[in-house]
Amino acid sequence: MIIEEIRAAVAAKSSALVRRSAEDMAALIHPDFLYVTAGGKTLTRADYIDVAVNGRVIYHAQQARELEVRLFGTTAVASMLIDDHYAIEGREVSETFYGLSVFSWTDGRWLWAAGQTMLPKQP
Amino acid sequence: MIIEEIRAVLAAKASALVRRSANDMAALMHPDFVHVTAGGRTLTKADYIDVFINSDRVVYHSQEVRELEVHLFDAVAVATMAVDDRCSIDGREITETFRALSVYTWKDGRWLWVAGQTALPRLP
Repeated sequence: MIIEEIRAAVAAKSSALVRRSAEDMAALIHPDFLYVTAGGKTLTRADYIDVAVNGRVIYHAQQARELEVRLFGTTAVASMLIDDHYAIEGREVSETFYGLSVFSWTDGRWLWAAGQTMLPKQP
Repeated sequence: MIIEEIRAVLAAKASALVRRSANDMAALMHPDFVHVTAGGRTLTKADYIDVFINSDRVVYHSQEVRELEVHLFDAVAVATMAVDDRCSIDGREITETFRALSVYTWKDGRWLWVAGQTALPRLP
């Protein structure tokens, strides 16, 4: 099922983050990738790898839940909750983000093509 | 160019919001539409039209899009943008800039809005 294929792609991304593998992460991301961070910054594939893998953010764990996937031709759109546990400049952060991700079926596999992560506004 | 086509869809959506036209909005959206609001609520197409058009709670005065960037993946366009909203919620006037990711699919000779997420920038 598509949802299990997307779950596997999301898990592989989380694993690459925790292992800090820029090579594995690059293999999972479409060259035309664009991503909007919770802070509102737009990143390319190279930017994302610089920030999330090579940079000052150290991921300890990332778990996706409440995954929902819709298929539009060769593109899958996934909404999810993401439980992140990471350190940034020595400060430990445990937070649940809302994620919307787009995956493109390319050369026989799902590549992460776009995404946005956010913290819901405070009531 | 694709970016101008998506800009036109966004303008049509903003117009439908301000005119409170459920029919025009429905025509712009895919039946399998999904949207995550800045408050973290997931909406279907019917939910979105109920909340933003049919409900008396939210009344749009204007919506402007800036910093639009569009990438094409086969028959799907992914757009990022800043959205300047001016609306009232329960009579309270709101002027706010959101960051948004929107997804469109090419169907029957036009772009349909299939998914989106709107966020107020906020870091932990």
